[in-house]
Amino acid sequence: MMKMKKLFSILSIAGLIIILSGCTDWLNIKPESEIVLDDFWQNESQVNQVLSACYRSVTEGEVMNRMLVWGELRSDNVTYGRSMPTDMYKMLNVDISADNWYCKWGNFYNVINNCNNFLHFAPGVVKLDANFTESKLHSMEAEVLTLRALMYFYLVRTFEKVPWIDQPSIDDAQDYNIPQSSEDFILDKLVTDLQTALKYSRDNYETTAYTKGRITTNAVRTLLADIYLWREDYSKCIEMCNLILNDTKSGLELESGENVINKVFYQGNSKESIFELQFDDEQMFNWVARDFFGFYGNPLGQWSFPGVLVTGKYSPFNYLIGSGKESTEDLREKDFLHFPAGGDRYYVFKYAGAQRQENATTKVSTYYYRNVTANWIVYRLSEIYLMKAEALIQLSTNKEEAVSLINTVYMRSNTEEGELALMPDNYTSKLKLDELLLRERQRELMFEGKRWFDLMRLSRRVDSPAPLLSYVTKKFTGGGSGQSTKMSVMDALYLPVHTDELKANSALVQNEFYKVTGEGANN
Amino acid sequence: MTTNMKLKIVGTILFFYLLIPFVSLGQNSGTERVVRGTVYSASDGQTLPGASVIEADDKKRIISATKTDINGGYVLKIKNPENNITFSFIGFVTQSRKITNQSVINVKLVEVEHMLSGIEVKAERKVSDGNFAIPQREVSTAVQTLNSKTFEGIQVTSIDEAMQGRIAGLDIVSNSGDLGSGATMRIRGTSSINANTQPLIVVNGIPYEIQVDPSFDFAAANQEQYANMLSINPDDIEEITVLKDAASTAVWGSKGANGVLVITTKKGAQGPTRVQYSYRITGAIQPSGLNMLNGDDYSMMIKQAYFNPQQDENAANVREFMYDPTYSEYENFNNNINWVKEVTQTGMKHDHYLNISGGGARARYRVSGGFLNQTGTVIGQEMSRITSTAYLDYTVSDRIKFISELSFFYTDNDRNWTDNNYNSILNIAYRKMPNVSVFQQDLNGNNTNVYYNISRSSSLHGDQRDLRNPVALANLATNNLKNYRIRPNFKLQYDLLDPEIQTLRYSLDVSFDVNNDKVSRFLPAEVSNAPWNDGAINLADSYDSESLTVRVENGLNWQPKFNNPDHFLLTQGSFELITGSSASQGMGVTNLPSGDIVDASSQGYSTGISSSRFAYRSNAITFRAHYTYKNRYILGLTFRRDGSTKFGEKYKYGNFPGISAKWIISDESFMQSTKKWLSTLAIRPSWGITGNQPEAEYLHFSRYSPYGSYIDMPATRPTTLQLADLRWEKSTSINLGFDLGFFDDRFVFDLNLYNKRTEDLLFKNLSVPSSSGFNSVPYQNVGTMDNQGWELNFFANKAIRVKDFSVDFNFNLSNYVNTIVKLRDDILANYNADYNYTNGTYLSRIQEGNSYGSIYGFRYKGVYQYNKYIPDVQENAPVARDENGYVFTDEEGNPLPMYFAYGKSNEYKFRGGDAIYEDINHDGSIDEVDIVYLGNSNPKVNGGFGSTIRYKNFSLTAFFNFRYGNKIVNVARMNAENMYYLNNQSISVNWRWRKDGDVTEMPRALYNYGYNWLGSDRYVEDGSFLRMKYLTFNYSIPKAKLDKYKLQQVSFYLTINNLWVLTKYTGVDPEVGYGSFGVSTDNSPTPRSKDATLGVSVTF
Repeated sequence: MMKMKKLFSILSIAGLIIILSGCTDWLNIKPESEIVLDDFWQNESQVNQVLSACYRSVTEGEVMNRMLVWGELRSDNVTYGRSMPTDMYKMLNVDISADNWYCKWGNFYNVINNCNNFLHFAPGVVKLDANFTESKLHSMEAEVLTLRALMYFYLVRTFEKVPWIDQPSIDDAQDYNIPQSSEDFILDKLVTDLQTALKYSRDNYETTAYTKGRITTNAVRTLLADIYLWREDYSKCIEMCNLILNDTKSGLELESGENVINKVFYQGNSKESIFELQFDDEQMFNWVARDFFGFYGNPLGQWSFPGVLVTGKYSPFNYLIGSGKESTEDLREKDFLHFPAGGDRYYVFKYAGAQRQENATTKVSTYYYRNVTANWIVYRLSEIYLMKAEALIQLSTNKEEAVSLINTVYMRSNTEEGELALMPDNYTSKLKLDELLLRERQRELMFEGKRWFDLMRLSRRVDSPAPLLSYVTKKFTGGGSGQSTKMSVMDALYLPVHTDELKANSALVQNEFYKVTGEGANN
Repeated sequence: MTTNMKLKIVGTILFFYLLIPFVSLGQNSGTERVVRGTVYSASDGQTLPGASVIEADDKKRIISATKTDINGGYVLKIKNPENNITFSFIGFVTQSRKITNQSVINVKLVEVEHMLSGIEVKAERKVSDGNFAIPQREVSTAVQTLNSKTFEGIQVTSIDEAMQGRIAGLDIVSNSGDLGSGATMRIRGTSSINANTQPLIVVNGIPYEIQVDPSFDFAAANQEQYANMLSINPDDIEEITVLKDAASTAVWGSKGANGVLVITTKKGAQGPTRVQYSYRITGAIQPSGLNMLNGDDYSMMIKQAYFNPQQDENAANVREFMYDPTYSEYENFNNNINWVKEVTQTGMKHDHYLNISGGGARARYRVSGGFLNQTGTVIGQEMSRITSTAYLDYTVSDRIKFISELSFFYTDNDRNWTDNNYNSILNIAYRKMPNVSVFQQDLNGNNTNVYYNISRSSSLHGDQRDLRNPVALANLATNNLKNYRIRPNFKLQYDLLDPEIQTLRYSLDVSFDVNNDKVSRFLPAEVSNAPWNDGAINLADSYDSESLTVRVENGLNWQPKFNNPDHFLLTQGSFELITGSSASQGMGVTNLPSGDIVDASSQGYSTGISSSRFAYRSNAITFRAHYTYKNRYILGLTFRRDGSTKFGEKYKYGNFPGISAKWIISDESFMQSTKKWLSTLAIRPSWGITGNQPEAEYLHFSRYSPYGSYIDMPATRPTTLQLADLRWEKSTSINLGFDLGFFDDRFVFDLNLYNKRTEDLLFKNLSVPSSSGFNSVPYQNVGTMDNQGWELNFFANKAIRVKDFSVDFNFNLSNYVNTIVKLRDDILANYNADYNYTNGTYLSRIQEGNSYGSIYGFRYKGVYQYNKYIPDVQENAPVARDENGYVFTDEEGNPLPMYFAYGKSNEYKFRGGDAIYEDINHDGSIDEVDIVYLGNSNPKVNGGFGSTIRYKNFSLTAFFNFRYGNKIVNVARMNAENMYYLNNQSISVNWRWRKDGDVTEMPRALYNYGYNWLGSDRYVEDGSFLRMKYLTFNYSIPKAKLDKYKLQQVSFYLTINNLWVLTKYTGVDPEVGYGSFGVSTDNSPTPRSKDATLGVSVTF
């Protein structure tokens, strides 16, 4: 009996202890596999992790595929390959409605929000962690400001007006109904941010992967140059390009023409790369390049090059100019495109390929595809030459230098004996120069997510879709008259705000062109 | 689960098992000596081997015990000569005597005389809401109990099937006929927009929940959601009580808002050991759904569909439909395959169940084991299940009792492989081109052993070209779920005061719940036309989750003794603590080299690794009182205060009160005159508040989580928005109940009227502007919703009784209306989307003051007979008309054509053979202003009825359930009649419009063109049905014949489930669950099978 009582008292005491312990801390538990905001932003390591997340979020498929779709799909470089998603197919055919999946911008803002969190909280860590110095903070801020600017630059080029958000999203009590800001407002902000970044950015990092995969001073300069070019602020663009071209310490150098396909696009982190997103085959796959361009066993991706444009007067290769021809034996024609025997389409070989071997006697090439994933190049050196050339052409000050810059890029891929440099005499008018520059950009940068924006710059200069249409309608069977009516005004060249976005955010205004108005037939 | 955690569980379990010997061997004081003797039968003087001999103290606590040997002799070491020695043997009267200083005690036991026959025992049934049992007649809240006897002999795999239609106000719809797919249950309708609407299940007083991380994103993680009930073997269930009103569910506080199902399992019974074995065999077939076109008719239809949009013969020249023998794939495209038949089969089920029970005065036990093996009606599905329970109670003394329950459950379910983009096997079978072959065919049209997939270089649209081969998918792809669950439960009761004087009982209840899931899937290359290194095939993934819940409850029951017998009071207070944790991991690998390597841990391209861990805790104080005055005035009070880690500081605790009363009018003296026929008349008002919680944890924090890495830098990012103001969803309900009994309660009516208001409605996954960097917030409290309804139950026990013949009858009926009272504007704006002008979609609307589940769309008026309008000759042509039917004309007198979406980018001019939609506003354009209300998915009334007829040892039970007045969107038929894609269509499209002048209801075929299948009343059907749910014959062999075989009971039964359904609904099965916005959408899931079961049950 004694024992019984003892047992009972043990049990009731145990019960009581549990009851008492319950009052205070019992209901306060924190996640095990996550860290709550109050416990975060304590040390340098955590700052580094968020910095890494800013980059990591750019490599998300949803961001990557939009960088390509927005920058290239509607241009004359792309037509249907195989198994293209419906919404992409619609956009390709300029059948764009506001519910098109590719009009969703959320993942770009996800990167922006990561950056905003960094910029908001990281300065506080300096006080908490002695190892985390002001100078470390500033150089990281330079990277983050540049990444954020890159995201906004894509958004502005694609939608023209987007919400400007530079504060982190923390709780559901904040007001997220932010209206769009004008293009100028946002670009002004970006220029200011990038100029700040230039002050603190690093010239290089400890490893090649870091130097190519993270933002360096030259990456900031390149983005600034690109923005200036978009804003038609040509002298500043030239200024930035000069800083890059004259930077001897950077080690930036064009690869030789034969090595481009293998070193630049297959191996990655080449000498000419300025900023490229890093992927690998263990954790971070570049599914987007694989899906869009193809890979070993499936060489035809979702995209292919319009066959009608490979030959004839619209082709960037074998282009008749004056008495001669441009690009008759251009390496890029063979390296970036692949027309398989018995095939009906020009496949994309850039990024999809590992190497091309040409039989010396028959001149027939064998194409070896990759089964691994590629890094994604955002900016590389050859574009700097072409940016500067474009600015010079627009300023009409030094045409010879412009042609010479274009030649630098052109000649490395036209290495056959007897190939001639482009002659300034063939390109006397500004129109001819404009066309030359666009052709060279097309040859050099095809499938790198640039072409649509190149054409947009052309149209923006005259505030009319006409010049752009003269290029893009060629790829459509039947001349693309139907498509061009859907691109008849400048507004139509920007994408609509996605319907989900309009529903969620009452402050947004739809692009005029895509506003739906309906009336009865007989009213 | 960490090893640490496992150790803790094992340790705790061991601790409680160690308690048993500790308790029984407790007392060591006193001198030990030996008593011996022999036990005889008093009647014939034979010795009794196996009789129990027990030394017990004055509290009747067992001190030591033994059994007599083969000669009836015993030797017992005794502790204290002051104690009693007790002799007992089954069938004999127990004898007890003081030990004193005797060393030899021989006894003669007297046989029990069976005097009880002929005396009718009137036991009072008690109803328990989990831990608090009160007599049924004193129940003042809205509860209903279903005894397992009512579904004895019916073949069900899971009890939700058994409950279907039995309980007024409980609506159960099976998710699909796929094995182990579970059911959607709703008590008294939906009281939440899109938060959790499933009722809480309580088994033997312990909530039966598995906490899974709802945010855990894995392809197959959500399928087990409702299959929870599967882990309770229906054979182990004693009874199920459904708590419906808030006054009864308030004791479950924050989890009670959706109602509570209280399940009590069978316990051991005093008596000799009984062994019961039963075996059931079931054959199931799938009811035939839509009849689909054969290859020849299909090809004809597709050619027209290609031709019609452009009116161009060339458009219809597609190799795959040309039947051209020179085409290299000719043999693979000239078939007539019934894909549905190819993927269906007769499902078989074998169900074995064994239980052993028995016990004496001190201890009772019951052990059961079940094994079930089942194959599905769709090929490739097979499930095995093992269930086992062990119950033991042990009365240590008159005041201490110990109970242990242990249940173990294991299932191995081979399911069909599915992912988000591709639908079920059956769905693919309905869509797949019937002219394409199952197997690759050689030049002579003979099948090879290679599954055929249309080449990816084919020019067919990707929808059909890349559609997987369903037979290959079912046979080759794997999707296996293994689940085990262990629930040990230990209870200790101790009466602090002598129960003869006053009850003051302390109870300790400790329970554990360990659950493990493992899903492993593999998709081989053979099921599709993609190359081996396409990321979507040769894809293996796996998912593991483990959870552990520990619950400790300390309770105190007090039942004072009043001198005045008019008063009766029962009170209970308890303190409950729950702590649990859960961990999940998922990983996937693609580009695996072949079908031989099917494990997700193999070397390949990783498609992602995800993991989630969370822990949760809650505590609660509960107080309950039940007071009765003069046996006819009853008052019940409950109060619960809940605390949970799910909420932030401001809202950690919630209070949930409940009050109920009952007046048994028929017991009043002034009702004496009517007592003869009106045996019961009572009224029961009640009121209470209950809550509902979000499913996820940690919502009130802004959290940072690991995010892979960039280059070699590990990444962490902010992943959630902090929900600053999240609180409980709160339901307040009022219930007015009436009990009516006639002729000594042979006919019983029970009626409830209720009104339930849910405030702070939890809304899941609200969109936020994505410019915030987030797409949605997981939960917010957004509005108010009302549910009003009534329920009627009627029972007739032995309504007819003539000698050996008797008839029971039961009937229930219920209905409710739910109304959205208030909803935040941005949600209304967000979810009430603009009409999107596409085929096949219905406008969904949530409107304040309107009920949930409303369907809006166009009115379908048939098909334009002619293309060109000629007055009085070709009247039925696409022209605009005014209210009186006069045709509008332009200045030149030409009739104005009828448009779709006039003036918009997708404007379309109707032609002959197109669908006619009613132009409500007569403006010549079919657009969103012509959309009207088409009905509601909530039934006007639903219920069930059944009857049992007994004659001697035969019985026949039939049960029917029904729904009336609900609307269903028959999407399955829409997809089978739209002739818009290359999908196979139902044979009804053979009646399509083909040429000018055809009179038909079926529009012309248009491949990827036109607006012939806009969301209209053409596909909105009445879902009313009456189903003969089951019919059971039962025969027990008369006891007299069994005695010589030493058998207790042998019975046979035959059950036929789902024998017929009476309905106008054209789909396979009118019992369709509720989808988004409460609309029932029939996407043709695997239909419930028709099956027949033969069973036998033997008791030794």
